[in-house]
Amino acid sequence: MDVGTISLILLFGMLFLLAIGMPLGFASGFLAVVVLVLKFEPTLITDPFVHGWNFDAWKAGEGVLTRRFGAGPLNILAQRMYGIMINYVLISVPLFIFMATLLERSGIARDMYSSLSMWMNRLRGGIAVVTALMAIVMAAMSGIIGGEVVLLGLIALPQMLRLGYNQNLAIGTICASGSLGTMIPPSIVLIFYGLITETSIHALFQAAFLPGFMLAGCYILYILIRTRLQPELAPLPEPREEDMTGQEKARYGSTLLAEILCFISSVIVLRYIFIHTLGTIEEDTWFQSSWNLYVFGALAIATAGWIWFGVGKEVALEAWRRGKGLIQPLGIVVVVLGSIYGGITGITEAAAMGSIAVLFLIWLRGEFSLNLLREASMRTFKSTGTIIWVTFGATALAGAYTIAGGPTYVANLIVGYDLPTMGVILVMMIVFLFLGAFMDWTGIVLLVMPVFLPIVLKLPMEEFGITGGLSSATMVQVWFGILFCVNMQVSFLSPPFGPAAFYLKSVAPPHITLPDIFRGFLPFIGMQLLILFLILLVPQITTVFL
Amino acid sequence: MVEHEHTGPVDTLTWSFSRVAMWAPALIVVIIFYEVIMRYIFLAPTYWVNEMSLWIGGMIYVTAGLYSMQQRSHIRIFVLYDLAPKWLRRVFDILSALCVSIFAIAVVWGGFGEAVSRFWRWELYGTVFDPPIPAVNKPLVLITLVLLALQAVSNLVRDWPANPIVRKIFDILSAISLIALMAMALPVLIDTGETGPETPIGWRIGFGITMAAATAVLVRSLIRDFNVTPTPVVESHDPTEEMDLPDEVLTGAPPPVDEASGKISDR
Repeated sequence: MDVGTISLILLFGMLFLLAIGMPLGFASGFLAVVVLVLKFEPTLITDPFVHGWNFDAWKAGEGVLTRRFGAGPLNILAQRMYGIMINYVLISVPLFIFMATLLERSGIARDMYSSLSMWMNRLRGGIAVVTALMAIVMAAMSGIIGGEVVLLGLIALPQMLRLGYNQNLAIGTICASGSLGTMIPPSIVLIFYGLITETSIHALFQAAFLPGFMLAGCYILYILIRTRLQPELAPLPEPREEDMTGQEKARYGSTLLAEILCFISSVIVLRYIFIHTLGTIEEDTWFQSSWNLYVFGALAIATAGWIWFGVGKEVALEAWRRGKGLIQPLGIVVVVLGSIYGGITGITEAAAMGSIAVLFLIWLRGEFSLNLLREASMRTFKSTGTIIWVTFGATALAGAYTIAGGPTYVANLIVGYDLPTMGVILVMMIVFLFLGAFMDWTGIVLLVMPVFLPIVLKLPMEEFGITGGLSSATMVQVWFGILFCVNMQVSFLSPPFGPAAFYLKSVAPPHITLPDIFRGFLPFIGMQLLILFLILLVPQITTVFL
Repeated sequence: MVEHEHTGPVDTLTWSFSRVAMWAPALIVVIIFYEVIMRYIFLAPTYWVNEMSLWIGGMIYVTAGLYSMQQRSHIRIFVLYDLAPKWLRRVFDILSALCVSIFAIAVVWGGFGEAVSRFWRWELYGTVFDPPIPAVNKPLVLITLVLLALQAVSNLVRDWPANPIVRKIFDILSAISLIALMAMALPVLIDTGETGPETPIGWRIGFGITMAAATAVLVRSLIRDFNVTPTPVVESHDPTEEMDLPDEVLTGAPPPVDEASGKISDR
């Protein structure tokens, strides 16, 4: 059977199986079998009793597929799944899930929220900004969405509604910024993209930094401007006794900063001493030079002196009390992102170190119990199965479709239209947005990327964007990955199946319906599309840090 | 966390296995932490942690799917399914279970030869630590898929509000077929090394114990449930069930807010 017909059957088969509520992973797996049968042995469907009821003849099989039990093209399915199994970076997925479930079960997020709102409650729209900030910090801790939206929905939504915030603004803020988990590194979407396309995940993480924070900055700016223009959307809470005045904020803030600086410089000095006593330095770099030791040593002593003599013990303790809810999550961010960017560990090990850091904090806070660990493990196991089996099914389908010649067929189809370079990219973006509205992102990475990326790599690089194009294939891969990632940000919010909406619905008060939630998303989807176009037109946004 | 109840041998097997296997991610965290400490503080990096986590990780990916299946938590789209009338949903369910089974059969059909030969050769990973990743993980894919298909059918039978006799017959049949499958794998225990490198004796003992434990779980569940009338699992796609939420959220009331400080008070 020719590839065109197979592709059509595949498309409609997928839509049908998803509609009847079949799990996505197994639907893909089954369709992989269908593709192989159509390609190698269509008689199995069209004329299964070609040999009548002569069982021996039937068992012998005519076609390539079923001729011999235990071998043949069907082996591609098991092979592809085994290929996923021996992927080291993929281990970071269960570990990041583990870390996220631990975080959900601790009070770390709640404390961060109270801490942040203490500093921002006099600001118009402050609680919404706090929500967005909190989402950004949590996004930098782990790369999963779902838990984050639920957590924000539990903590921030009731608070905003109680203060009389506009419902759409509150919902949109929570879901849009909660979805940032898969945009700001470490991001699970980028990890999968890197795996499938063999792009350096490290490079992807570096490239995602600017777009991720642009998106986050956009949300915060939107909140600030919108609430400035329409103050009735975000009423200010009644002033209270214990609210900090501007002066107090400045005093406590500077003390807190001094405390952090003092701690960091002491760590650097201690590290220097440790390394030099062990004698493990092979070559001197800027960071290890003795000049740095003096600078950081002086800084540590100066800040410690200022805290001790300048501000006094009471203020220092009070500043710490008001700020520690913020310091804990930032510490985890430093452990995870610092390990990756600092070249200390790989991504998998960074995820494990993050989990250890969270566990340590939970223990410090006195929340640790065996039951907590058991429940977190149980949930991790379940969510791992859910995510990874979508991958298994999709990789089996991708393998089968590749054997059947699908990618070449689709590539020829797209190239055949003779579109201009940016036209091709634009078509792909529309395909991503369309698929994203119906499918899980894992499936899209595994099924569509092997088809699209080779086409993109064949296009003339200098014609990407309007600012002079890109200069190497790696950059194109990274740029395309980031574009995909922003597309998936839209897909988390886009009706009818935007997952963020369903996560929020599960924790929102019953009077908030799904259409209400999707209505709240509209301005945020607009902003995401804006950033998407910006990155499309100015690819350099993704390559500045490479 | 709210768990789906486990009734019947297949559920019990999956559930008991997951109770042990769920600690694996935590184990990986621990050994990676050990590796990082050894590398940076004691300057003595290990050679086994990397591959050990790779190996355990691989086993987690595959087998976790079983537990997700038993808990009905695989990603699916409910919008159209929920609109359909009851009888149509049953048809959909049957179709789904059928498709999963066909997928499993196809994978076993294609991959059986390779998996078995790798196992008999006791193929190692070919590194310094040399874990038997191909020898163990390749067959594991097939075994898990067979169990997954069985679990899918079991879910279908469980969720079907039908005659308890049918369920009982299914329970007995599935337990017997599982035990029969294990009996077919018995030659593994007496590998004489004719087909290649011998499977290490420790491993064979391990497999033996695993199979014995699985058989015990199956038999015990059969005996225990023999006189119990199974209750059908209540059909609900309410995602809140999955989420371990505090009561005030489930009832729709906002969480208690400490009026004085404006903060959410502790649960």
